[in-house]
Amino acid sequence: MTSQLRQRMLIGVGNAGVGILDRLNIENPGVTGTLIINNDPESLGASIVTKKMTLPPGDVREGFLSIEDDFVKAIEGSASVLFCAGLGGDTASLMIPLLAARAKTMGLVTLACVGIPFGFEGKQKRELANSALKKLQGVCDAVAVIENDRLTGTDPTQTSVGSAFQLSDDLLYSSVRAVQGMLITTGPMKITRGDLALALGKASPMHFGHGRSEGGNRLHEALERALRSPLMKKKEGLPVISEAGMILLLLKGPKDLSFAEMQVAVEEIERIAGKKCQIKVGVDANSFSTSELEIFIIVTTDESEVSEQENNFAGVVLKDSPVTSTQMRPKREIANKAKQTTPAVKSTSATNQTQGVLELNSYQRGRFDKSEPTIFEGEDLDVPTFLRRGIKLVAPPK
Amino acid sequence: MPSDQIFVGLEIGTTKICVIVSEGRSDGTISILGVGETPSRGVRKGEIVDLTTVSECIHEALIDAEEKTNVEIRNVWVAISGSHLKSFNNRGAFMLPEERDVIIEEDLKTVETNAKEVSLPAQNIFLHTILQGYHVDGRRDVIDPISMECQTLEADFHIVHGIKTRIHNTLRCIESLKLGIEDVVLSSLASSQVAVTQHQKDLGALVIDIGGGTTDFLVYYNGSVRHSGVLPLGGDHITNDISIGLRLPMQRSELLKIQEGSAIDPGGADLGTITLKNDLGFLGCDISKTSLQIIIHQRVHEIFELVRKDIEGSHEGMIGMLRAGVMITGGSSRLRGIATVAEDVFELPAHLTRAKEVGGATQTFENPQFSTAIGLTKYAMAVSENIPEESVFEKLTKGIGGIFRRRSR
Repeated sequence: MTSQLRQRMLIGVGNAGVGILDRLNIENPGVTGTLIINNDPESLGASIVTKKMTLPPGDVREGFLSIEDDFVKAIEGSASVLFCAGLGGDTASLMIPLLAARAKTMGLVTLACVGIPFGFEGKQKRELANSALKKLQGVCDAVAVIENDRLTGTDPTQTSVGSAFQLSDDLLYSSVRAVQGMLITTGPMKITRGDLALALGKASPMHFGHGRSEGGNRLHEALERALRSPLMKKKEGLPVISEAGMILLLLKGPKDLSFAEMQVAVEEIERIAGKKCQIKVGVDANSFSTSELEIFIIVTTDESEVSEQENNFAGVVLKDSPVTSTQMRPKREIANKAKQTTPAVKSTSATNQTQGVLELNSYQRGRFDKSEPTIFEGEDLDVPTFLRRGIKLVAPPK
Repeated sequence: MPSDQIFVGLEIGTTKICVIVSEGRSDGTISILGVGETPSRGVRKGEIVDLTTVSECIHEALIDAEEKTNVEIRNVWVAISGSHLKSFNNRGAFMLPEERDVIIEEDLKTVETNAKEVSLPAQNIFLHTILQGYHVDGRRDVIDPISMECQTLEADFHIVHGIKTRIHNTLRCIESLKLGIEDVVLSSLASSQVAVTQHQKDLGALVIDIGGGTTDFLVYYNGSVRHSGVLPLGGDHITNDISIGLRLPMQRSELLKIQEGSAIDPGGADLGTITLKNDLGFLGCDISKTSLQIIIHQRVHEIFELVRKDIEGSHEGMIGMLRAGVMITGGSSRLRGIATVAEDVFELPAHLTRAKEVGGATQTFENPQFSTAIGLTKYAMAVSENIPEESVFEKLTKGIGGIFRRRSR
């Protein structure tokens, strides 16, 4: 079996982890490589994820031993494992470090997306979460952390408890999709596991933004939403991107995602980010069945820490993606790459463009011209089927 | 006649808005008293894009129905469609407390609640929770578990959800006319109330309702709903394809589709020409009948392929188990040769169907484009006893939406 065919396992632990995987399964029916682990039989019973492991009540270590063999079987042969959970509860906080350590001993790339509870949830819960996070950071190649306290903004009195929890769930879910999306990008514009490990493999707060939009102005709207995310601000409410040391930018969209859109996104980020900022761009423009464009941004701020991590990371073994000097190219190079692949407006070689808005718009949509397009597997189904399939019609005899 | 036996179904379609007024009979069947109808404006691909215009159209259809039936309409059952509607199957479980070992009514509600303990996308709400069957301590397909001894009660549900704002906009449109809304029903669930028999549901059937803007489909297996979906593709797309391919105005293309259209693949045959006569604003011309059929065949074949792909994506191998085959209804089902294309794609027998076991205005129930609205009144009759005393907005907000606590047929 080649490494390309190896599965990337996504593992939800505890109630929050189960919730995230349920949502993923609902939004992407037929998704494979998901597993949930919990000690609450009702939560497991109600979940639509098919692979489930029940932890017995009581000692966590014993619980781990009881599922260890099944867990090893479930992840054996995978390329990577990504754990997701809300830390603070006993199940996730105590179990994830054990599971991650076991996965690591099998030589798998091990990543995690976790949430840290709000301050009002109690000191004990936060301490348990912080201790689990520390262990995870010691074991995993990269850990994405959603700190709930940063979601309430500069004025927590203005945020309702319900909306804060909803926002927390949404961001944790989005961060899982971001990391998962960055792992699976292929082609010339991709974010490697090395990039992810560099951005997330440190203890400083993660700045994360997610935006989605569709329609003619989708790029700008999605980018604006991503940049306005509460996790893209510092505690004082100031935007963090202007101090960015490294930015991971993932564009996820339909096949008609154009080079021009990608270029605008990179240039806009470059414009507002600090001059020393390094941008890693990933594009996943194949997997969507809608015209919606999603933008995920992960920002690291402490430049010195990045360099330190860079040095430290040279010693970390990531079997499938060794960090090479080419992955660390300066930002201009990436922007230039985008420019090189974008046909110039006056260029005579514009016909070389193989995907993008222009080609699709050349088809007629008739009465659906002003309607929201019906995109399925990259095809605009409002365009007549015979045109998309290149079937020639018969002219009537004259 | 007691007024509580009168049911009114409202379908806001892409090409027409229709109101069916039916009377419930003591033998469980319905009799159609009349139909109000108006061409639809402000609806695209099954979803409302212009609230004011749609409200006006609904008003026209209601007046038409009231005049024809002499019934004053105050409350309606509403069919809903649109590609934002999604579905999945899930199991709810409940362990009875130690002090009790007999199942009570409350336990049925608890398993349903547990089955819905999944994180929907933030903007979505539950529309239906359709019971598939109960499991009592592992024993499958128990129909009525109340009073049975048990330790663990489980139940499988088919859950339909959709974007809250889109569902609410439909309701607001109706409420602006000071009409009460009894409940909102998935269009394909409504049509299948009258388009397939109980025996066909037990054997396993795929119900496809092809309308103007959407294709709604529902899979029955062992008598219960296993899968549902909505494609934002329908007869309008066929007309649009003809208009583009043969360079004809939309109205002329629609007429050509109805009068001469066929979904049969012409293969290499030359089917000759069709002469279109002069009309107001249209200079006559000759068109190739072969081209017309190619255009229609390609689109219809693609719609069925997408339905097949959607079902197989969630339930591999299920299509082959549907012994009753494919039942096609809806306005676009009148297209010639459509069943042949369905047989080719699904490799199952396909039948055109319309409202069955219905009395009253013959012309109405014989027309497959009224299947959804007629089905709404049948659905209303079947479940009206169980309606909780709360508004439809409250039901949807609380996520109760779908009053099917008992097995949906």
